[in-house]
Amino acid sequence: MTQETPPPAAAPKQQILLSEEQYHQISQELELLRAKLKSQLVLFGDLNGQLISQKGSLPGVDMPILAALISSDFSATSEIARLLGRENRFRLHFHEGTRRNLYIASVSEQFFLAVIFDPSVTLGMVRIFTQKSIDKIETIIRTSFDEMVKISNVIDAEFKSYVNEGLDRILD
Amino acid sequence: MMNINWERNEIALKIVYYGPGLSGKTTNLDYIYRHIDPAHRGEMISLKTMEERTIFFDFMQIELPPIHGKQPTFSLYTVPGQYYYAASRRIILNGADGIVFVADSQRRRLNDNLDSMLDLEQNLIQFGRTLAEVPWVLQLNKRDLPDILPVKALREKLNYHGVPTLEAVAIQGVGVNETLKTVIQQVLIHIERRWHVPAGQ
Repeated sequence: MTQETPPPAAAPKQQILLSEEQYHQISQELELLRAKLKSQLVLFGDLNGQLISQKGSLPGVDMPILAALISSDFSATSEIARLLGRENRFRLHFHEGTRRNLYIASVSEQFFLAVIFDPSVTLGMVRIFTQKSIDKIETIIRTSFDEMVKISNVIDAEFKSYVNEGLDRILD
Repeated sequence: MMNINWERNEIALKIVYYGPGLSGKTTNLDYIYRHIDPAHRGEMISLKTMEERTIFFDFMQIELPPIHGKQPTFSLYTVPGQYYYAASRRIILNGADGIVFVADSQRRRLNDNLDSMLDLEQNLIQFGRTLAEVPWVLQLNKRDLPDILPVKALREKLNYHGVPTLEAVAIQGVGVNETLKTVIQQVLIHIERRWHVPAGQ
């Protein structure tokens, strides 16, 4: 019995680093989405596990952990999609809970948008409004702004030594 | 990969602990979690089997005090070391800013270390990266056990890129903090070079 070799992982794309202006525009869109869906929490992060923006809250929940779990869940399921066929992709995931539901969708192949919502909100409504938000966010990401991110404005020459001092203080 | 949260003024970096099964990756994170000032860390999550082996990853985040209004945060991950979790390792490795390779110093584990190093290189290549350019450090763990290889021999076999090598006994915390500080330094040096940060006065 022959076994089909799974297709290789896609070639890496250049990482997108969001500017402050892009960030604020995306945050506004997330807040609008949260209001429309009366959602408890909307998260935007990258598929490497980093939380980028959060609207709403869930008391007692560690947000960085939630972002890491959501992104790895999405990435793991993407591997399943890839095994199922060369061009196959799962664009969204839906987890139905007993008290809360979770809807996750990919954005620009580098980010995820996650919505945690009450079961009284229909999945169809979540899909429609989330897709509209994703379309807007992808436009924001594609738009180049005059003030692109200058890393040297954020991390200067003394940053390294300050990090060293900070690590010495909290680790020892 | 580095990310900036402009609302919270956070600079977020990702460090991944890699290595063969039972080399001490989770032990490193566990030590850091138990000994760091709790005001500067979140909770730790470990996705494990019933036999306490990592099945997907361990994760915790540490935060430094703000620097010029920006707060550095470091997400620390471990990968599962057992060979059949290859896909999981690739997922967790994606986007790593820095890597700690935790090697088991015991003589009988040398081939496992080499296999894991090869696995790491192959996964990096899939992301368009290599060990030659990624910031990483080599931790030689379990230096307290009998029948371990000398540091020089392990360096020759595992460290052909000349990255910093640290000795450790992670279960006692020896070398754990030094390893973390060193890999973060390597990451910051890499960022300075890559993004042409001007040298200090």
